[in-house]
Amino acid sequence: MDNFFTRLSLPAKLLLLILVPIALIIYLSVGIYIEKSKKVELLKGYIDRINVSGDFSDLINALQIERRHSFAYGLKKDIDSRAQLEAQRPVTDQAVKRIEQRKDSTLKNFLDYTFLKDLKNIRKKIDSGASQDVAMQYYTTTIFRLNTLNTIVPVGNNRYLKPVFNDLTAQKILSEMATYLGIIRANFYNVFFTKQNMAGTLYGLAGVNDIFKSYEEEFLAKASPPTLEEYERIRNTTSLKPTLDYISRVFQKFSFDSLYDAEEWWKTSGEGTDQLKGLQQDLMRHVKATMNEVYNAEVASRDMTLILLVGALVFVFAIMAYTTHVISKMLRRLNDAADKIAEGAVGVELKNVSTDVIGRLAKSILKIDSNNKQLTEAADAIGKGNFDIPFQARGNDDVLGIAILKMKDNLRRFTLEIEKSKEQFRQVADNAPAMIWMTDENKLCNFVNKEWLKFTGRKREDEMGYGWIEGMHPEDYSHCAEIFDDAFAERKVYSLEYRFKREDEAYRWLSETGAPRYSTEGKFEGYIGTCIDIHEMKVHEQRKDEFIKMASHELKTPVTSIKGHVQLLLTVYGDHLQNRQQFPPEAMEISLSTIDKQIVKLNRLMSELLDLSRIDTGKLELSMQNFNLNHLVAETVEDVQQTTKHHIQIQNNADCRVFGDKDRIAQAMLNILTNAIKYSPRMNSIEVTIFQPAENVVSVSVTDYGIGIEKKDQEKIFERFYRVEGKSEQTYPGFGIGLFIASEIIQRHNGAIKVESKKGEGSTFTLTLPVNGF
Amino acid sequence: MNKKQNILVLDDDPDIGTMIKMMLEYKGYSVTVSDRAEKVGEILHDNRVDLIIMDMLLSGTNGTDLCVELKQNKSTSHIPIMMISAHPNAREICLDAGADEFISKPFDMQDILSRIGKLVNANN
Repeated sequence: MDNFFTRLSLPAKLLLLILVPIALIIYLSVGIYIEKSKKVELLKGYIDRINVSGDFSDLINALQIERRHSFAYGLKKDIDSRAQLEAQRPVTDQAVKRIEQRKDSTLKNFLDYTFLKDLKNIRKKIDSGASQDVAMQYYTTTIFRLNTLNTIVPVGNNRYLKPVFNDLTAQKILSEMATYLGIIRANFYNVFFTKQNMAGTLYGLAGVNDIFKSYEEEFLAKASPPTLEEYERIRNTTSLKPTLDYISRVFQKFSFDSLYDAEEWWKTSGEGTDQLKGLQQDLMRHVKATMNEVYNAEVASRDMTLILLVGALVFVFAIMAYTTHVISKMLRRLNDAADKIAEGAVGVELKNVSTDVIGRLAKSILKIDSNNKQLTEAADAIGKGNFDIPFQARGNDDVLGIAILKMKDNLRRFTLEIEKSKEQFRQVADNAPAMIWMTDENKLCNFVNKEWLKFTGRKREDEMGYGWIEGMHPEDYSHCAEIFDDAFAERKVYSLEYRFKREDEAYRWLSETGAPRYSTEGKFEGYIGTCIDIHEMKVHEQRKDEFIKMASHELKTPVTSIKGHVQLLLTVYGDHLQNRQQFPPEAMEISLSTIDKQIVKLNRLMSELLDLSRIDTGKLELSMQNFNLNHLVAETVEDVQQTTKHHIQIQNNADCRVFGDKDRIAQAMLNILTNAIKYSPRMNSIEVTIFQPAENVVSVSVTDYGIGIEKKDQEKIFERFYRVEGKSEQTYPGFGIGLFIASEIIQRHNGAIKVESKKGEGSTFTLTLPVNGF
Repeated sequence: MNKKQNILVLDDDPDIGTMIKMMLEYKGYSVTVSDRAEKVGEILHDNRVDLIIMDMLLSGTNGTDLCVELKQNKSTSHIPIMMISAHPNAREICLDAGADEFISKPFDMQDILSRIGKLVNANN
């Protein structure tokens, strides 16, 4: 049953709910309607009774008038009475006929009961001269019988009929009073007319008068106030007054103290009786009118009940249908909203919610939605890294809220840890004394460190993606791209060298090493690499390469000379004697001395190489002694002078002894003098000056007037392997390490070597040594 | 040999020039030695030269430049040129410049003489 009711649709449930009260309303309404109808029927019955009563009243009136005229005619046998009698009879017949036509079963035998079936006979007797007493007796008996038939049905406490009933009763009493008054006045008329039987008449009428009096008392007790007022009026102002006053006085004295003129009495008392009848008929009309009003009101009330019943049903059904519609609509909207929420949406709208259970449900759904929205916003904000969003769990039961709070805390912690580790990485990367870069898995650069940016002088965003390639020397690009692409494809470590533009636009040689990098899960994420500026090393290496080429060339030259002369001499000595004579002794001397000279040159070159190696490895040893510098300079110049056409002139402006390695200082002097000769091929004068520029030092300067040295080269000529570049200079023989060795030797003696020169005008090299050495 | 064949030797090391001159004169050639490329025009104008032996690196005008110049000049293009050098990569550079023969230093006497003979005889 429960299950069945639960499964019913909402309109069906509402219908069931409303059926019981509707049935009750219908039952009660139908009951009221039936009750009303019964009342209407009852009233109708009353009205019929009253109508019947009216008809009886009319008939009684008609019979009383006919009795009056019949009595008068029976007494007087005059024409006037006769005419009035003739006129009244059809009125009476008409009144009888109306009652007959009612076909009321209770009135079936009323003609017998009231002796009205004898009316025609009595009329004939009156017409044929019967006495007035016959007429009086017959009509009075019939009227009496009619009055007994004309009963008033009690109405109980019916509030509509109560006043009507009083009036009805009052008019009945009035009718009775008129009947008895008619009897009294007719007998009085008889007395006045005949002037006989006065005492007998009084005795006979005393009972009638008592009946009249008792009816009058009853009337005064039961009539309504307006009726009583009207009665007072006719009793005191109309002919009723002299009539009743006279009757009252006669019965009080019980004698006719004075006699009325018969006709006068007949007239006055007739008018007085008619006043009573008029009042009775007024009351009857009033009763009928009131009854009709009440009846019509009851019919209207019954019809109104029906209309109200139908109206109430229609209204209840309409309300029910509308309510069902509204509830269904609201539920549908709630359903839609709940569906939306179930699908994960937020921001549902529910307007015009009622204050009942559906309204509360709607508010609950809106609350769920608003909570969802809050949770969504919080989760979204947390997802975007905004951990400052104000968010609280709604209570211990808010599992989702607590989960989000936990998520927020964990995410915040993880994010801080990641930030910290990122920061650590950035610090390591930025502080590393190497340029560091990273690419993603598509070869696009996504990181360069501070050192890189310091080198290129560019912004970080300019280097991202392929931006950094702009710095690469165009000649190196394709070669590097090939190596990188191959290594990248195979995820191999690679190394390469290329030129890269520094912030000052100069291309510098970089050595790059790159290696694939992987996430902790082993996923390939791109490459990481370092670049080191190897420009100085690279240039040095190139110079060294050139030096080796040049050294081999320099060594081969004396060897070529020696080999050539030796082979010539061997050929000459292996030849026929006459051929040998073509080779004179002077030629042989030239050959042998050349060989000797070239061997010395070769030896010197090898010594230089040995010295270079010693300097490089820090094994250049000095054999220190105290000696006279002037003597050493003189000896060295003398040795050199023998090998050159240049004239070397010495000027001794100072005479100093120094403490040092005599041979090494001589070697340095020799290297400078040799250079002076070598680089002044067109000139033949060289000046050597010994002087003391300061108290504790002594200098030896060597001046030539040769090709000179450009300013930019003046510093570098003391570096190892450095030779001034240029076509014409390339052919000057020598390793180009002479000045380097000289400089090293002088520096080892805490001295200095410097040059002053002007291109094309010559150079002055100056050695400066401490006096007396260390 | 009614008239000695004349050979011009260009080397900025006078010792090498002298050595080659002595070798060739012993074998009957007439030899002119110079250490500067600039003097070549004058020498060629004044003498009949059957062969030029020159070092790749000369003071002043480079040996290779001189070689190109001589081979482009109609009046001198017929003269065979033998280039010598101690430089490691000199062979290709010299042959590219139009030299007819290249010998690296230090050379073998028999070798250079036989090549000189071939060049001189082929030209005649």
